[in-house]
Amino acid sequence: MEHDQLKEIIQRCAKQDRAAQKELFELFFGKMLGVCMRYTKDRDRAQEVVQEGFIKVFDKLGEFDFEGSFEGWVRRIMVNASIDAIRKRNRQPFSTDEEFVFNDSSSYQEHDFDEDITKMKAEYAMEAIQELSPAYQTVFNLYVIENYSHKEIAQILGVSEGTSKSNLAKAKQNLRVILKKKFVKLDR
Amino acid sequence: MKDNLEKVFKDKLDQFEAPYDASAWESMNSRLDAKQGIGGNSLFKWIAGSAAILAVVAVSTYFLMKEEVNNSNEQAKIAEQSESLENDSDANSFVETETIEKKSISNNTGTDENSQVNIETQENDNGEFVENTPNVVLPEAKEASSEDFKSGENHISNAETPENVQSNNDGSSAKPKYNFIAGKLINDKVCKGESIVIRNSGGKNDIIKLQIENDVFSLKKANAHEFKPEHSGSILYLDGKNNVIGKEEYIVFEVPNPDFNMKANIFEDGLPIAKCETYGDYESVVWTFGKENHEIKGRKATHHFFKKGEHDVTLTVTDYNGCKNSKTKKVRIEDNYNLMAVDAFKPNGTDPRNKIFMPFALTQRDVNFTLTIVDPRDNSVIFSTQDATKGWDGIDQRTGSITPSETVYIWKAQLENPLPNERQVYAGTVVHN
Repeated sequence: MEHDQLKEIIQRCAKQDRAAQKELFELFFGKMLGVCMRYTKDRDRAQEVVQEGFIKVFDKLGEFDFEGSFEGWVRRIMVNASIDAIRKRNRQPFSTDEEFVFNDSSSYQEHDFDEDITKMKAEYAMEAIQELSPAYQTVFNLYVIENYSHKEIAQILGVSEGTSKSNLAKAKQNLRVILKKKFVKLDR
Repeated sequence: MKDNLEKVFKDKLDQFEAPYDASAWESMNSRLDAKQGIGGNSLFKWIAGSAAILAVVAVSTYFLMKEEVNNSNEQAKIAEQSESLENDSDANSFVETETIEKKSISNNTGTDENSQVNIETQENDNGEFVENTPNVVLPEAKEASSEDFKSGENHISNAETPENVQSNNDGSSAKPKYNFIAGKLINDKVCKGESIVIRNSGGKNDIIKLQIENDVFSLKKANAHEFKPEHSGSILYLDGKNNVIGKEEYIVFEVPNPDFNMKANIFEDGLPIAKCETYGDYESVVWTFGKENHEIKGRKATHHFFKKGEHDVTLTVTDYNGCKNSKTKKVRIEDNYNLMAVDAFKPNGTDPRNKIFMPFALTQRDVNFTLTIVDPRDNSVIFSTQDATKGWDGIDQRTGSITPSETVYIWKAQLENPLPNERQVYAGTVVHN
């Protein structure tokens, strides 16, 4: 899509033009659902969060200055909406580490395994992330995919930097176990 | 610096696009509508409002016109009936009434009024029942609940209209005769909230005129009346002159209103336990716990909730009249169950209870297990036991020497015979000094 075309849609959206809102929604829906799915357990919940996010997008559209990337801007709103949604569901979602998946050292070599997963389908990666608890899931997403630092994550989630680091480590450990189970199932 | 796992996930999911779902915009659109309804674009509301008014006007005009047509059709039909009336005997004039359970009727709600035939009656000298404005409404929803109903009837009479109108115009003065019949309730005992249905399954000219409390109405063939009585009472069956020709009693039982006491977040024999008890005398008592729908029968029940959070406990009772009701309460479990393990101990201390590490629950429960202690720095197993009386004393079993203090170790307990809704492996961390 041309930049000017997008700009025109955005300007019409800012005037609450429903047809333009539809265009914008359809343009970004797939990608933003992809973002929100990483912060939830399933597609249905993610879809609700995407709608929340779009309501914020339409509300704040007047504030967008056309300086940076519009998609990046929408994406940040979606990430915030996702975090808000997790907060609404749980009392202290980010500080708890409920699941401790035991790391059984004998059964695999970490290095080989990490090589194996490079050919994994994106859908499996998504399913694996969705199996993580909210605390691990959120830190992993923010750090690995959204490229936030531990310091920023600590601020966003209201936890200590240490919690952010340890949750990332545990998230990765859990992901390895989850993926291993998935691959075992696939092999059979 | 990202490792390979991080790279793979970033690579796969950064630009991940979920497939588009056409219904997504519809629900988004209605959310925007709802939002606009509050704050509001007034022009939009005005347009929507006037469109709605126009729609109402259009629909009501349509029905008004249609009603006129129906009326003339019905009159024609009556004329036709009256001609063949003399040939009709009382054969097949039986009436069936029955109770149907709430559930099966609930999708037909609103048929109640429609299913009553609102006939203005006028009696001639012979006591014959004459239908003047037979504006009978047979809604389609009704057909589902009355299997005897011949759904074609209305359409057929419409189709025959031209001839019938003709015969009516011929000046035929014959009027239809109706046989007034009494009903018979098959089931006259219901629980409050359940429906009693009276249906006219009689012959062509059989009519049931009935009085329930102070309401009088008539049921034509294949029509039914459904009502949900609040209290016991009786149905009077009337004839054309409002003489009582039959009477039936029905009994409405109150539904039970069960309640129960519950204690949770307590431990017994090393297990978290929720105890429930109901008072009151019931034919049957069934409890269901949590998502697993663990069912227990009896006045008292216990359940082990292992996970933190809110769980549902539902009590369902059936009383001696067969009336059922249930009550659900939420129980908040404060902590995940982790074998009641401590997170620190003192191998060199003086308190004998605190010198060794063994999750408390394992000393209380009748369960076979393997407890292992692992050093997380190299994932090596330091200690292992299957005996609840022989916990870890801080010694590395391989070397026989005491492990470094102020250090975190991981414990893992694998249960051989966990309870049905229990996890098999527990793990945690422990420090000693």
